[in-house]
Amino acid sequence: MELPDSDISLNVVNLSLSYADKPALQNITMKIPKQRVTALIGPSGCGKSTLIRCFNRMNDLIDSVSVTGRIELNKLDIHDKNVDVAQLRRQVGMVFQRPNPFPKSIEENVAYGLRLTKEVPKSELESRVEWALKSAALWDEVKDRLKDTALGLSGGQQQRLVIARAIAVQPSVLLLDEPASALDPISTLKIEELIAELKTQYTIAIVTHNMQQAARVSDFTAFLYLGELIEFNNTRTIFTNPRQEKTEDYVSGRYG
Amino acid sequence: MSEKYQLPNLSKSRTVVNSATRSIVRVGGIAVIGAIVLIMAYLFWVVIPMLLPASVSLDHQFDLSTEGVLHVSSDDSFEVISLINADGSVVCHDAEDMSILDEIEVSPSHFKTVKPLYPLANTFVALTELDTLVFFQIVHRVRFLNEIRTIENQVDVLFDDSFIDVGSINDFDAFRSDEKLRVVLLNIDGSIDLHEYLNVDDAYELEEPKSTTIDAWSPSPRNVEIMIGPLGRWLFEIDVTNGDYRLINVASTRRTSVEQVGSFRLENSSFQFAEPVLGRYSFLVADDQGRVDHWILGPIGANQGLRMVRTFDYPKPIKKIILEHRRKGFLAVDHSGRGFIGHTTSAAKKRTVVSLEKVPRLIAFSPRADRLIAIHDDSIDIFRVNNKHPETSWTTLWGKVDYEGYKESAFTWQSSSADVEFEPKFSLMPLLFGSIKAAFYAMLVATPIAILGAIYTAMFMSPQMRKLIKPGIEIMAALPTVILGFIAGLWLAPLIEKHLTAIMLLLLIPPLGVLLFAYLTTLLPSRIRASLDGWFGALTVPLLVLLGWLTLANNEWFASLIFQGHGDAKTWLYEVLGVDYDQRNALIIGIAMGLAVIPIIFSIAEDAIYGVPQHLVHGSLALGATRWQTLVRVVLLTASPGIFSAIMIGMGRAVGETMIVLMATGNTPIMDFNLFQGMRTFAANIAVEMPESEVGSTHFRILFLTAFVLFLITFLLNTVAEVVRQRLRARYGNL
Repeated sequence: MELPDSDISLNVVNLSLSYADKPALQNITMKIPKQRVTALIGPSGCGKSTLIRCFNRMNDLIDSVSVTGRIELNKLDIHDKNVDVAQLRRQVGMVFQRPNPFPKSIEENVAYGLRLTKEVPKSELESRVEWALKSAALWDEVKDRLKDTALGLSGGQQQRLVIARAIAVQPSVLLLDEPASALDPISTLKIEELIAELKTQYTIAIVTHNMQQAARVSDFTAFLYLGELIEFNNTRTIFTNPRQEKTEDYVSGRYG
Repeated sequence: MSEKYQLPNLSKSRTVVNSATRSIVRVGGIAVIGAIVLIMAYLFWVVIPMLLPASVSLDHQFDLSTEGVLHVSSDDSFEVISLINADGSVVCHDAEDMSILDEIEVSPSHFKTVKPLYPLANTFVALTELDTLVFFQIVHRVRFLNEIRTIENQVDVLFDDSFIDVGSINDFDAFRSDEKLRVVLLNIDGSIDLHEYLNVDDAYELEEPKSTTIDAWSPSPRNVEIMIGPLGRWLFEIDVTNGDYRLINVASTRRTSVEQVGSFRLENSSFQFAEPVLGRYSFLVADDQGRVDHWILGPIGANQGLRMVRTFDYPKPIKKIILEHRRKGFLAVDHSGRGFIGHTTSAAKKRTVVSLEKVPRLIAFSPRADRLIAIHDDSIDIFRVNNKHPETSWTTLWGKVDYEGYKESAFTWQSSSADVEFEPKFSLMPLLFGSIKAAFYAMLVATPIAILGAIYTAMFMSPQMRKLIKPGIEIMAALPTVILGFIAGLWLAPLIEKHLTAIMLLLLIPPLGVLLFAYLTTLLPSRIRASLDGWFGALTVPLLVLLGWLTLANNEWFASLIFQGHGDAKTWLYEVLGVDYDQRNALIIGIAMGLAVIPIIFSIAEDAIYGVPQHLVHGSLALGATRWQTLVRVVLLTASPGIFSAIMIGMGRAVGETMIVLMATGNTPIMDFNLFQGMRTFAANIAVEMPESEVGSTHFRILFLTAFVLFLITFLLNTVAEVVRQRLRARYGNL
């Protein structure tokens, strides 16, 4: 799969990661294209969440993690000494498996990232919040209760709120770590529709357990197995004509 | 055909265990609530008698001619009533039936006047018709003859039956202390002779007195009464026609001086009489309109003098006021024979009315103030008085009160004294103030340290170190506070007094040192830094010890550097700020009690902070927040209910803490918020005074009241804490 450099958002080169001598990722090399949805699939413990957490250096929070190899975001090495982790994370937003709104109002949740720096003037906060909520397809449901606590929303709404919170700071990449696994089918559907909307503006990497979901929402799919990248290709190719036997076994449900 | 499906019954053993567990839990829960309610009810039960009004009821009425009775007294247990008669005899009656027990002749000559020999009980001085003074004491001895209890009544004429020849006088008074007898005589011409007899012993004749004469004052000496004042050092001269008075300092017989000349007279009414209250530090002054004013002796400018402090208003003019023997209580009788029970300190409270039918010729309280003996011309009435706690009222407990000997009204706690004529001062304000002050300074020290420590431990410390630190600090809570108090009072307080300058600099030098250290660590190669991450806290410990020691060791150098010309910090405080330094003060308490409170606050706050879900922390970090921003905006916010209750529980502990404040505050019940002054708290006060307090006395009940108030304060604090915590949790809780 060859892409021109200008279409590459994240370039992963020879990335290995281990937790206290236990290898979790081995020699991963992949190019995640811009404004596309890339799905990471694989059985539990294959390292897909670990990989996605490398992209915004959330793994830094875990003691005894050692990383080798390179990750470039728009050709910039994210492990470079001059890279500020906080700034990196503003470029690479992340949504977790469990909805994690802060115990604040809906409005404050969305504005949280904006208030961290003074990039967005206070006068524009309100319109930014509205824009983010609209982008996350949540505006109509919450516009009358922006001051209410976010904890009063349903699980699906909370997850869309968290997505709104992530895109409010206008990152270039959005990492979704099993965003729908804790949700009911209708909420899942809404999230999937949202992903389809968002990919016109953001590079999206999504970790999912659900192969139908990967097939539905993603343009590209990477299959990981025991910390290794087995295959990375067009989603259609992966699901209909995988080159590797392991991939075929997995997508056809022989293990997982 | 339908078959009814039945669930299998719970097995018997499971049912039994189930219901047994349920009842045990229920009993336990109810017992806890019951215990708290019982404690509160018991405290209140002990306090209740103070709130009850006094009552007076007629006990006996004896028809008896009382012609010639000059004075009445009774023994302590009110078994014998002694009447002193004008014919020079004392007749002792059985208090039950008024039968005559003994008739004792004191003097062959008749008595003109009898006065108590101030300040003794049952001891009198009589002026006979031969113009002599006779001193005698009525003694009631309890004897067991053949195991039958009998009372032997006896009159001892003092000073080996001798008497003092006084010649023709208008008035006299006498004062007796251990070895001294003072007699003042108001001569016909208005001059006053003061005789002081030294080396006095009841069984021996009096020696020659040292005498001095005070010049006449009133133009009409016939109308003047004289009275010896407190401790025999003062002499009051009162003109009974107009209420003018003169106060003479007679502390030294060689040099007497007029201290104050004034008048009890009021503008719109006329003076009737003035009666000294127990101890003679104050007077009750009646006018002709039903008003009784209370005048106390105290400093006025550079001198001592009487000033009016409170007024009792009665519906009708008061004709007679009699005093209790052991308290500042009194009975005021108006012209229709109605008596009002009152108390000077507690002012208007508990005004009980008793009908005496008419103004008695003589009336007296029994020594314990549990009986009133009213002597009419043809009858003797005995009233039972139930007035156990006249000293307290809302004002005496919580307000400013004018006490005898005070320059102005004050909040004072002084519950007892060696002096029997002492006026108890039961203001709870100094104690409340002390409790708040101690808790305030303790919290001032404990809160920042405990909360910041909790944040550091929960958020930044390496997990291994946290495993050591957390239980370590929690064990500090188990340290007996008596040891903390002991160390604070006997080791820390002198140390701080000696190194005051250095102690103040400890607030500056070690923190600056730590900041410098923190800056230096940022210069370390990142490899070394990463390996030390989470252990910097441990590294600062030797640094802090070193800096602390250096600061203390160089105390004198710092003192001479900062307080040039004043010597040391203590002198500087006194000379420049006018602040007195007490060795045991709020600073010591702040440190010692702070130390006792830190583990509680730390432990609860740390749990709350550590319990903030990681997904919230990660959510914040993933949005590009720094660790600091995450801490302030998410972690502290989410943990706020826990942190708040940590502080409130710490405060409850600080308010109720006893041993430390007992041992390290100096227990001075003063109202001064100064850091360098001591205090006395409710808890310490109970610990100090309860063992000395007579069971059932007003003092005893007030101590229970303070316990009750303390209970209410902690109860209130905890309730507020819980309510606020619930609201915070509803708002920020995420779990």
